[in-house]
Amino acid sequence: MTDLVSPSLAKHRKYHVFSFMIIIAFIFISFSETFLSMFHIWYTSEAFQHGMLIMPISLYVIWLKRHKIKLVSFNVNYYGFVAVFLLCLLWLLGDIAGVQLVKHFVVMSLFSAVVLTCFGFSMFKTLLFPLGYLLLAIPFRAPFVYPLQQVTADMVYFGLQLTSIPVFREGQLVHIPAGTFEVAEACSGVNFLIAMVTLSILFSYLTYSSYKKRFIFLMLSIIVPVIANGLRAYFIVLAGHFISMDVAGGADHIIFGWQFFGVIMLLMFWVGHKYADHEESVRS
Amino acid sequence: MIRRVAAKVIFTSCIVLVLILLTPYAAKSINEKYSLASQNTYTSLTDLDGWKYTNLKHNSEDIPSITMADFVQEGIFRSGTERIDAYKYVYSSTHGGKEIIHHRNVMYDKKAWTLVKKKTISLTYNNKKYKLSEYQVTKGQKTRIIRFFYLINKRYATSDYAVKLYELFAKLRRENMDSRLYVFSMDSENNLANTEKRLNDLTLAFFQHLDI
Repeated sequence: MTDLVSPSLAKHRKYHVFSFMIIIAFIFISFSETFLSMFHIWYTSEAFQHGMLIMPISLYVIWLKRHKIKLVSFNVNYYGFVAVFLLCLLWLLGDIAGVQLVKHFVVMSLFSAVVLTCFGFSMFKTLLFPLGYLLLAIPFRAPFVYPLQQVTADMVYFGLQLTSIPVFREGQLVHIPAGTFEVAEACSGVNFLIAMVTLSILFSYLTYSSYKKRFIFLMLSIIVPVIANGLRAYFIVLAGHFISMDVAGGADHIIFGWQFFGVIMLLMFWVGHKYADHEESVRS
Repeated sequence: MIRRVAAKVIFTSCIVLVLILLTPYAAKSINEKYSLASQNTYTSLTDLDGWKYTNLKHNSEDIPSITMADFVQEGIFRSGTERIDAYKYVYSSTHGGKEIIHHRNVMYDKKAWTLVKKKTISLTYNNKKYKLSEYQVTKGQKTRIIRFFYLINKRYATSDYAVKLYELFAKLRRENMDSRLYVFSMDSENNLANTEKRLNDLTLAFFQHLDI
């Protein structure tokens, strides 16, 4: 493979790679505060611990593409420079307004813009997936929590009515004769949904070559966890009704939740793998 | 050929590097300039048409958990036997946790109260519709309605996004930051409709006072 790159080409590639490394180093130095705040969230929030794995996963996918990368010609792309400029401007506005989310988005997007600037569009296209995957490291979930709590409460209420268990619903509170359940933030299933979508994007990229299959799997990775979470909450209320409120409301129900989600996740990937495309077609 | 390529690569990289190095520096100097310029004048919660206001320290479990505000005022509005708790928080900064929209800032103590519902309601004042965020929370047998809205340099807002945008516009226009959060809460004595009505009455009277 290396024979395909002439010595002069290899020499001019060095300039591109060297510039890229320097710029990346300075991105980490200049925006260290933004990276540290993101790292702090990854480290402290249960919902975003997967954020720490995103960069290594992206690097792994780039490594998988190493043979293809060797064949790509390098060019300086001025659109990339424009993208860097606009992202820096956005970071500035985000900082003035005090919006961490915007700053996190910018620092994770800067990698793509710098790849485009230093290596050109062909390389950017080749690395589109690992560069886009980096955006999944951005801690962002707040708008989904309350709607998911509502969906879960709706499903529990519907399930209890369907199984003729007396129930009264008051917003996120579900009252049954044995007691009252709160569909709390932890019951929204948002953590599981985020983990599932993050893994499913990687899985569908590495397993399928058809965009249709990838899209279907991704949609399932959103729908299945939401339904599974509704069922989990319903089973917990059933346990409260038929066994005892202590069993249903104790710490065990959270452990049960993760075990239940683990099984659902394995099932999803097992079924998904049955429809896998040939490795060669996926790589190409 | 190689020299030309190298020159192009190095030139572009240098410009990118300058951009990357300058951005945080520019942000820092802009933020420092504005925080030095910030001089707030605070108008207080006061008596309103049909409502008598008294400053009062509330039980820590009952107050919103709003941190690092530059100015806090808490008290009660009374009308006959009815009572509405009122809070005002003012921020002159948008940084380092000293900011009105922050994940630590919540309208009720989550350890003491349970959220039942949240919704947005509309009130018409001066032929204009104003939205307010409303939470219904419970603690044992107690039910409470909490309503809140923001005034960012006299611009009315209910959503976090609007607050952030207004703060950004205010800074870009070189205005002194004056971000305010107003919270009204009332316990419901098994009559949610009456609680909502009384909160509407107070809010409309308050809008008149604010002259928004």
